[in-house]
Amino acid sequence: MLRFVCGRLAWMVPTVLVIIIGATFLMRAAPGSPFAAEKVADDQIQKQLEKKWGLDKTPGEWLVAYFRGLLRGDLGPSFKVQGKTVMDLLGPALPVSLTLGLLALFLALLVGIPAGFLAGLRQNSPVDYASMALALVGVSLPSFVVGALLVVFFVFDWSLFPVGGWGTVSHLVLPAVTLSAPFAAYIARLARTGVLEVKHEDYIRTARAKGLPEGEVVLKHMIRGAIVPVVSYLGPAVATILTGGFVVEKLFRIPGMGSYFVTGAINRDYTLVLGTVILYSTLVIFLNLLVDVSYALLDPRVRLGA
Amino acid sequence: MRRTLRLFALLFAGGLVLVSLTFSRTSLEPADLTFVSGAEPKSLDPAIMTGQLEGRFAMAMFEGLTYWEPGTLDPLPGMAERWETSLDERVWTFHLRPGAKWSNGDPVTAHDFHWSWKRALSPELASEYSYMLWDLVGAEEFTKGTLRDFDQVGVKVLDDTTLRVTLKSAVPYFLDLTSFYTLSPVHRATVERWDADPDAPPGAWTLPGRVVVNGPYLLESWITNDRIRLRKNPTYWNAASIRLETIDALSIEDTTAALNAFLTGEADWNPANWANSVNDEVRKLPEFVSTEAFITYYYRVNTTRPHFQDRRVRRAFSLALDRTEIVKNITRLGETEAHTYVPPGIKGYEPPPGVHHDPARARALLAEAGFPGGRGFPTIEILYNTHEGHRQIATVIARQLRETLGITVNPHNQEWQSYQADTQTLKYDLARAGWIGDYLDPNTFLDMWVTGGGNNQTGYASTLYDRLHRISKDVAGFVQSPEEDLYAQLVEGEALRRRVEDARAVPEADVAARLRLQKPVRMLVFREMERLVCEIDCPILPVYFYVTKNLVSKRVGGFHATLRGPGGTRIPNVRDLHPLRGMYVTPPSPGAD
Repeated sequence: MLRFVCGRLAWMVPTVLVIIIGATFLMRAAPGSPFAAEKVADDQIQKQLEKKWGLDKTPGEWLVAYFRGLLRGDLGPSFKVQGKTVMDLLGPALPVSLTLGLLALFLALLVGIPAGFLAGLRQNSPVDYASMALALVGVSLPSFVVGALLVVFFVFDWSLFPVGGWGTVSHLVLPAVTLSAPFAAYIARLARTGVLEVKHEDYIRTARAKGLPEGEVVLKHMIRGAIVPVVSYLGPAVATILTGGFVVEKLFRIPGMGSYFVTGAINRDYTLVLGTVILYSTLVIFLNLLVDVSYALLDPRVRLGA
Repeated sequence: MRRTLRLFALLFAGGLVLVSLTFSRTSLEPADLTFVSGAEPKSLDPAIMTGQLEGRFAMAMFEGLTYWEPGTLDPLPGMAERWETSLDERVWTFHLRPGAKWSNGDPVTAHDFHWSWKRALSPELASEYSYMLWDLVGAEEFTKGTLRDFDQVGVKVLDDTTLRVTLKSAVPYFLDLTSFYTLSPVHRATVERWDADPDAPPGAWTLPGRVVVNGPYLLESWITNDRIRLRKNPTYWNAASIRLETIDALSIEDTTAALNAFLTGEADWNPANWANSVNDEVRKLPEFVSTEAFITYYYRVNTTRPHFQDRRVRRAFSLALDRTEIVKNITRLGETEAHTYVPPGIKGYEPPPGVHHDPARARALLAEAGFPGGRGFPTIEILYNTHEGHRQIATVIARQLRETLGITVNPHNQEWQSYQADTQTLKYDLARAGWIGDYLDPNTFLDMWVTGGGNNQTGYASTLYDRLHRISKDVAGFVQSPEEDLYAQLVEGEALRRRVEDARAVPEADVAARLRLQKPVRMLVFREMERLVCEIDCPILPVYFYVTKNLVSKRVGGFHATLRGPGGTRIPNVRDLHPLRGMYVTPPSPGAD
């Protein structure tokens, strides 16, 4: 197990490096530059500007300098929020997105798993239909619609929550609910599928046959098997949810990571783009590792490192 | 299962710790005045910045030799207490205010201006607005590297409180420039301290806790994606006139969130940050204020395309546009049709009649150019950056061109960066554009169409235009030795000749009178230039003049949508400039004095 984890962690470094190189070339190949403006500066000034920010170098040379900084833990200066480094931007934003993401994840699991289980256990019952219909709505409605509806009701009609911003628990409620909705819905569907799959397995029949009460059959035996599809979905889902939904963060003005993914790319803020790429890819790789490890914990048939 | 639950509890506890961590950082009492700033400022360095959004911060934190009085936007003595000019208005001597201080207690001296202007002009800083200083002798050459010795640039320190500025020629709006942020002083020791730090990014000196200012407000905090907080600067020379203790600038890019912040009362002022699609609802709000703006919406024509090389074709396009339909049905906020390029509102400038909707004449011109009824004309595209408003206008213009001229036109959108790249490299037929004037003078709209100009981007090249442009830069020289062959090439050549002769009739020794009579000459030259781009050569198709749009809470005072003009008149605040220094709230927030 330990060897497996260490091996995977070691692979992480070259993987991220390849991703950085790929992202850099893609980024530099895209039209425009961080200094493209509607009012064009004088040619010489444009050249000086590029020199000042190291854009007169070829992408290769630029990468070498970037890696050198990376070794010192320096993600470089932001091109578009001058005076701040990429660290200054991402550093305070990460805990904000993590807070919101964890809360949303917690909500999604809290709602999704029980709903899916109930639906699965009572297949083709009104409970099943109702929760699956709701899940369908949750999956299909984009968050800007869910968020906007919540704002209309809970801010403008009943003024229960602030319309946006960050700073108190009440600021968290609407964005967390909005962010969790599609995930809760998807988790519910996966949990239901999981239950349907294991419901008729031999080991469940054995558990019932040896006289276990139904509650214990579900909690002790069924849950382990049924939750596997949910867990494998959680890897990428957690990465997405933790780095913040762009739409949700914009709509509710959350000072999180989400906007940097989009504005970084739109503004051609090269260093910021790479910062988000590094962060996101590391997170995805790491979480996928966690998912693989948890398979071994959940399913006695899985052995790691074999 | 118990293990899973324990894991959950742990995660949740971790989450709570995070919550407390991030909240403690951002929990702020509401400020006395809160406004929607929009995107994150690209820089808070007054010599680097170029945008209106950034300018609001610069004008709050820094003060130049002069500053704009919020109710009139007239330049008032700022760091300079008084000044005198030479008779020909080329040499300005500024006397600095004794007792003016930086926020760390250092006195503001003439050396600060000298050093800051040198910095703004230096090639190494690569300031995109360095041209704001190019009216100074030698300044442009210094930026472009052809002049290395800054002592030859027209700014001299006579003593600690006296600064002498020498201009290339008289600049009627020079005190507007000294009020503009690019010409603000910056605190040398602070800038040098952070520039010398190899680990600090460019502009590191502008962050809270570091930046030293000389204006009415201090930079208290800057939380990216949340807000910037300004606090009254007690060391500012005119602190007694500043009525707000704290101001919050919310960083909100999403137009819905920005409008919501205003509607829920969280923000007191929202400068046009809402989606066009809700314009109809927004304009009904009692807090909505709007006036003419110094901005033009227009289309560029790529004059290098074979079918657009004939100016009759370009003129036909401009004549075919029904601008009224666009302002009545699409923009709908009281915008006015643009028949010319320079927006109204410049004192002393009379624009030419411009181009008016005339389908018959448009068809005739197109036929003359060899495309009767549009036959033989290739299918062309309108390039615009992805935006709902631009799409609607492109669709209408495409339809008008098809119906009037029989030409197939397809709107084509691109994201901002690609659109800019394609416009600049002339990979388009027609391209949507907008231009915001920097100062109230036709030059800010007309100097861009010279051959090869960086902002030309149409391929337009006219020796006549270039010649007029050169004359507009040196009217004194033209009056001194007029070029007789020019008049015949102009629509109003005789009027210009008369004006020039009027000026020449004044004895050369009477510098002031000459200067006064040169001003109308200059304006007539601009009028001819505008004629060329709007009526004759048509490398552009003007569409409409913008309006300023603001939502301002009734509790905000000192916000001027219109300005006090001479003799009690009201003139629109076309530059949409609302210096924070003049604002206050009623009733005043507790704690403010």
